[in-house]
Amino acid sequence: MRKSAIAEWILSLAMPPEHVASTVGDLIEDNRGPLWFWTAIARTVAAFVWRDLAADGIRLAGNALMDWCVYAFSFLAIQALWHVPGFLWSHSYRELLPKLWSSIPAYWNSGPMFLLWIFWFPVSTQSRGKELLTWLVTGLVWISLCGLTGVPTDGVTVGVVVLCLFVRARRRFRSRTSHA
Amino acid sequence: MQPITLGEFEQVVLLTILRLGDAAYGVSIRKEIAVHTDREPSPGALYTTLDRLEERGLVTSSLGDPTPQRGGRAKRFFKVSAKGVEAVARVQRGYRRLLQGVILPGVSHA
Repeated sequence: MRKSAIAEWILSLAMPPEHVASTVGDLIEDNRGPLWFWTAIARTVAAFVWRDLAADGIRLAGNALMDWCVYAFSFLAIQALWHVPGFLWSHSYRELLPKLWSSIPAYWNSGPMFLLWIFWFPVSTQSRGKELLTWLVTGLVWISLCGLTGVPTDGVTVGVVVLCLFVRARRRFRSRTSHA
Repeated sequence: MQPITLGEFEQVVLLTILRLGDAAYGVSIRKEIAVHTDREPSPGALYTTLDRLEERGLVTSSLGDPTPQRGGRAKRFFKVSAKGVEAVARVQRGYRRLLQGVILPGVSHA
């Protein structure tokens, strides 16, 4: 894959698709070396993401708070489901509650989960209908994988971030093409 | 109707596009700003501003022909719309009114 194609893909995650090619063309024409080129790409993506975040702060904060609550409860629900068979088998609630309780500090102290929450900002702003459902299901799947297989939460975070960027790019592309 | 507000950098970009006329695209706008304001805007700042100005109907853009030195990619040329001209003119008139009669220490011509 050529560097310009990679650059176009990265930019398409944040900026309107119809502007991507001309922007990459501008950066190629400037011809100031690869370091400047890739720094410019990164700064352009950051500028567009930041602009979107800053445009509607209150709604974003509200959605983010909702996301955070959904993740917290879904995580605890999965933990509960994971321990319920053991509870039913042993008929001892004394074993269930400590297990659930012990999982809570691990969750609240998890930095990667906080990162995940931040990266859901752009996606959650317009989550409606199928996209909200997709978001819930994927979130549950990721957290289940983390809880059940012991995959490090760093890996989960990276996966969710990639998913967020993909969903965001797809939505932007769809909205632009539907207006055209 | 509320008058259109413009940030400082938005005014710089609009005035630069007006100066460049038919040759206003990403690279030329950045170079022109650097020459006249002694600061080089980052590509991110410029493209987000151009995008915002276009969304607000203050500039329009159109694609030129692809060129080899740009990897076969077209230039995106910008023009200030009538609404944009009116907005920047109104803001500049306001600055001029504010400067009238003001003496800036150490500056011979304001």
